[in-house]
Amino acid sequence: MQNISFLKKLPEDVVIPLRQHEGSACEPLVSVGDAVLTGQRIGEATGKGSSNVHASVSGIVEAIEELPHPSGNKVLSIVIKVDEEQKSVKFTPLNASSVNALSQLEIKNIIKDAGITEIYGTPTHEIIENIDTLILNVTYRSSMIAGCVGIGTYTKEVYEGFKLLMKASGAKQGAIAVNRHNKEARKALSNLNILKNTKIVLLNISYTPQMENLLVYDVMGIATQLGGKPQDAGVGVCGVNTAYEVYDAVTTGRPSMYAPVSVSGAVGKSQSILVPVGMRFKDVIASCGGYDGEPGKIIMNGKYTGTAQYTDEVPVVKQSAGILVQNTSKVLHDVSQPCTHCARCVDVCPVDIIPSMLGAMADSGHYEACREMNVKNCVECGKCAAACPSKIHLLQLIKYAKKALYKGVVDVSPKQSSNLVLGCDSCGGGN
Amino acid sequence: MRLTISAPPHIRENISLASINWGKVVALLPISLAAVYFFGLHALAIIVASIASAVITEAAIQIIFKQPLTIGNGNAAFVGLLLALIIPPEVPLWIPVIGSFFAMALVVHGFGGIGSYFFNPVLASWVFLTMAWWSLMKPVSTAHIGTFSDLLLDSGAGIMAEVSPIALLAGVALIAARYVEWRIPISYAVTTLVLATVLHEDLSYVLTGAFVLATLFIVTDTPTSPVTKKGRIIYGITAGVFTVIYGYYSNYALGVMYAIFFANCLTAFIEKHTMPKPFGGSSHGW
Repeated sequence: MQNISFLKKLPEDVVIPLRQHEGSACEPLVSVGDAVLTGQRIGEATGKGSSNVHASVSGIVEAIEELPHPSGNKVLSIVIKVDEEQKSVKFTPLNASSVNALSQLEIKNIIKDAGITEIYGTPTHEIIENIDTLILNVTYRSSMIAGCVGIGTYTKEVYEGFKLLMKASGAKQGAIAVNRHNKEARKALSNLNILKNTKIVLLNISYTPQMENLLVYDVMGIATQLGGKPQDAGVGVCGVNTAYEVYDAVTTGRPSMYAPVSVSGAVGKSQSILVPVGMRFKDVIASCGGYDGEPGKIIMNGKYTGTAQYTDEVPVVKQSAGILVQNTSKVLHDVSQPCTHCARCVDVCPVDIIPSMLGAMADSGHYEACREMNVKNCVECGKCAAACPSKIHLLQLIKYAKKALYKGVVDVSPKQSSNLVLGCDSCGGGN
Repeated sequence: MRLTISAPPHIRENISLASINWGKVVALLPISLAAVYFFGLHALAIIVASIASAVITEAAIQIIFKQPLTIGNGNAAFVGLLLALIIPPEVPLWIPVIGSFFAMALVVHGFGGIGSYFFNPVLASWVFLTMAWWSLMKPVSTAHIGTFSDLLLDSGAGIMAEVSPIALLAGVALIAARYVEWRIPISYAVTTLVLATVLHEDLSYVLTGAFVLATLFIVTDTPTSPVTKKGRIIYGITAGVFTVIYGYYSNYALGVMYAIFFANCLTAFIEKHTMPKPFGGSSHGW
């Protein structure tokens, strides 16, 4: 497992979007010309699905304007010019005994104030609301800090964070889901003193954050309603990085302001690097040795489900876990051919739906037929489209059908890109 | 810097329609060579005529109807080659020419091109030829695996594919390379062999080249078999039962062809009734 490296030199400026979560954008607390300190809160949460945003560097606010965001939209962002001295807010660390003395509400408030969010954008303090079971998803290998350095290095911190989350949520039982084939994680966890109400569950596959319903089903046997969330069944699922950040926030008082990002593909040196939130992709790539060849595609968060970026000016956000650069020669230009019903997509599907038929139905606009064939079960893992010999854009078609069904009940704003407005949301992102 | 934005996934498996079809053609080369070695140059002429007719028919249809030309994906070549292998080696050359034309024009493109037909074009064409010119299409001898050497070179071969069951095993490589899925061939072969054994059939008449060819190349034709996992196993069993019924009362070389042809009719029915159930409960809001 590779080690995480730290940034040697801060960039000249950082762009901190006020929307790094699924809800509405934060209210800016600073104005142009203000001096901000590292860790200072610069955006106040504005209701459900929203979480606080903090400055990850110290410096002068240069501008507050709509700037590109890795989800594909433009988002109100604060540009901070980095200063030389890097002064920080005075954090209040807590020792072990005072951590134990914290009440449920106090921990919850710390989590809320620190602006910790899950990798798919939901604030963590909302995940742990009204649940009786908490599951820690260790199966997702690129789950940020654990994916970067291996859970073995941070087992204790992650488990302490998990315990804090359990306490904050008031959950009666907990489960730690581990991939059977991840020997490192299994060994690290077997050395822990696990609480009685917590179980370690061994699973056969890795669950991406979109596959939470399936994870809950495989761990607990509870089938969530189609299109629902684990919370509907009183279950919360949190990632490894969340647990680590909770531990960090409670013990050191630091808010969520760093993102471990693994940079790979056509770059000088592939590595995992801890960067401040708001650092531009081009600066991150430059600190990893720059581009190797002519870049054709820059992808955030994974080659199967990640979002392709239209500019490398976009900043790293709390949800960023990986940056993949593809050279122009590696960029796919496949033309779809007719489906031959080879069923390779059916064989790779983790949720037992028929992607080939859903794709055909979505392509011809039969969204109701898609609903009848359980399109809402799709976890958007992208394996069907990758396996298709006819190169049909199955994931895109299925997402389009889901969106069309969703639009039947909710108004969805069109997606903006640099200079075009796309009618659909299927290019990834979604926040 | 020009960046491409596109929907995920951003990588795909290195497999395409063309690689699957040409893979099947390559897997059929050993048996073709064995047939030419055993039956002489007339067998080669039949193979060439059949492939040429299939490819030219497809190209002509696509040019006339102004469709994109797809003869490069190897489907036409595969259909032509497979048809040549299931007709007797003594037929006049116009038989494979008409057969391939029928397969490509009526069965494939008549129903909407690759992926849209519901009868295996090779089998439909074989049934048509057999009905129309029975005296020419009747094999002059019946394949019989009497000794081990018959597996290598069967002197009783009635159709070209029966020459060497061993040479057909190149098709197993397709399953190993995951170009062909394992459920249908396994369930088909097991059902046929078990049922035939139960009925005290002489397996030396069952395990001929026609059966091996059907198991690895004909019953696995993807557009004419179900896509659901359960459905594929049921389809293999259905085809196996039909094979034994036909073989029990007549002979197995013809039985495999008719049995799979009949099983094709049931594909949509099987598929409809084996749709997987959702793991979640009832629908939620939208």
